[in-house]
Amino acid sequence: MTQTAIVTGATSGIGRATALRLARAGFHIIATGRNPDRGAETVRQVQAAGGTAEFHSFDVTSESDWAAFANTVTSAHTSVDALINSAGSFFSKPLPDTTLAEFRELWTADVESVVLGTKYGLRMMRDTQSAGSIVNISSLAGLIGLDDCAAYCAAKAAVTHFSRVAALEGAQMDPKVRVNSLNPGVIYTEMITGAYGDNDAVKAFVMDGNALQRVGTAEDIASAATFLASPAARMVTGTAMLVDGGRGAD
Amino acid sequence: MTFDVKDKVVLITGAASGIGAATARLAAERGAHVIATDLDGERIQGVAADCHCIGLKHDVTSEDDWDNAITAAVHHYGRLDALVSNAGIVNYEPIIDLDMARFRSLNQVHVEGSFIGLQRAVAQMRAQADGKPATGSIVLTASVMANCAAPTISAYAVAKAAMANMARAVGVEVGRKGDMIRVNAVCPGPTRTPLLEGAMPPGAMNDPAHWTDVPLGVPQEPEDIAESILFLISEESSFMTATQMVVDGGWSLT
Repeated sequence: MTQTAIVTGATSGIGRATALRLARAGFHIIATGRNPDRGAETVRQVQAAGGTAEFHSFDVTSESDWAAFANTVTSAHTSVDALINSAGSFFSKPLPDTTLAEFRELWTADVESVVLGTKYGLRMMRDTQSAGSIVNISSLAGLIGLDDCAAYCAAKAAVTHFSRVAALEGAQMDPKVRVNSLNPGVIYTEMITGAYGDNDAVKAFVMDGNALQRVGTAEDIASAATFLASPAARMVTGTAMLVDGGRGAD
Repeated sequence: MTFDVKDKVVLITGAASGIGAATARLAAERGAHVIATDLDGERIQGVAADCHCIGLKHDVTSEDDWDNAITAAVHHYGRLDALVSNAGIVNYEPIIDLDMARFRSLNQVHVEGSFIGLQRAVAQMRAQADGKPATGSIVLTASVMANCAAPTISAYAVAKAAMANMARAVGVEVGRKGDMIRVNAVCPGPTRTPLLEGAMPPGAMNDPAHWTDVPLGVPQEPEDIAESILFLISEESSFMTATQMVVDGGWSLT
C-alpha cells in the first residue's frame, strides 16, 4: 500500500525539497501552501521525479482550515504516515524596535501553525489507524541565541519543546505516533535571502559560521526529514535533530 | 527505504555483538565494504563469515591495534570512508564501591579508544584526499547516559559524556580545517544488547512491565541504532557534524 506524507509549506524551500525527497522514497505527497501556482509547480516537480502528489491551498494558522483539510484527507486516504510541518516565517530586528504585533504575527506563523498541525496530524493518524511520524521543522535558533532574532528564537524554542511533549502524547496512542523536531542551522533558502539578500557576501557569511565550510541546502534538511519519517527511525521520538554543519557546536 | 552506503569502506569496532554486529550486517547487506573488529578474535570471525566482510581482533586501547585495523582497510580497499567507534563495556556499581582500576578501564575503552581511533581515522582520511578537501564520516556510539542519569552508572555516564563531547569538539576542529570530515555521536537509550541483557533480571528484556518508562514501550533492537549510524555515514547527512543523535524511544523525555 502506498504511504502518504503531508508536507506544509511545500511551495518553496525546505518544504518543497522535502516533498520531492519523500516522493523519491515512495510516499504519495499531499502538499500544502498558500500559493496555488507554486503548489502546482511542486506537484509538477514531484510527478517529473516519478512520484504522485496533490496540492491543497489553506492557511495553516486557521483551525477551521485544518479541520476541513483533515476531513478531506481522511476521506480520500486510508493512511497518513508522515506529516512534515514546514510552513514558517522569519524576521530579524533588534528587540527595542520589534512591535508586539510583529512578535504575534511570527508566533502565529511559526508556533500556532505547528500546534494546529500536530493536533490535526495526531487526529488524522488516529482516525486512519496509522503508526505515523510527525516532523516539526524548528531551528538551531530554538536551541541557541541569534542576534536580533528574539521573536524567532523564542518561537522555535517553543516548537522544539512542544514537539517533545507531543511525542509523549503520541506514544500513548494506539498505534503509537512519533513526533520529533528537526532543527536546521542557517539554510540558504528564500527565507534567508528574503531577509538578508541573495548575494555572495551573504552566502560567505552563512558559510563562515558553519564548522563544515559549506552552505546548508534545503536538500540537506529534506534528507533528515525523510529519515525521521521512515521506519529507519522507528525508535526515534521526542528528539531535536540538529542539521547545522556544526554551526551550533562552538 | 534506506540511505545509500554502497561501496563505502567502513571500519566498525565492537562488532562481534549488539549494535556493532547489527551495523556491520546492515552495512554489508547494503553494499558497504566492512572491516569488523572486536576484542574477541574468535567471535568476530563468525560475524565476518556471516557478513562476508573482513574480521579483525582489535583491542581499542592499543595504538598498534588501531594502526593494524586502518592498515587493513587501506590494504583491502585503498581507503577509509567511515569509522564507527562502537566498542564498549559497562559497569553498574555504587560510586562508593567503584574500584579505580575499573573506572580507568571503562574510560580507557570508551574515551581513549575513541580518541586514538579519531586521530588515526582523521589522519588516514586526510592522507588519502590527494590535495582535495578530505571527506569521511566518523560516528561514536555514546549513550543517552551522556546527558541523563541513573543510579550505579556514574563511571559509564562519565565515559559516554566524554565521547559525546569528543565528537562535538573534533567535529568543529576538523571542519574548521577545511575538511569535509564529519564527526557525530549517536546516543542510544536502552537497547537489546548482551551488555544490557547481562545486567537485567532473567526474562526482563521481554517483559512489557519492564519498559513502561520508555514511551514507545519496547526495548530498541540493535538494528534501530544501526539505522541511525548508517544514516550518519551516508551522504544524505553530509551537513551534519558535531551533533548528538538520540535514539531512545523517548526514554530521556521524562
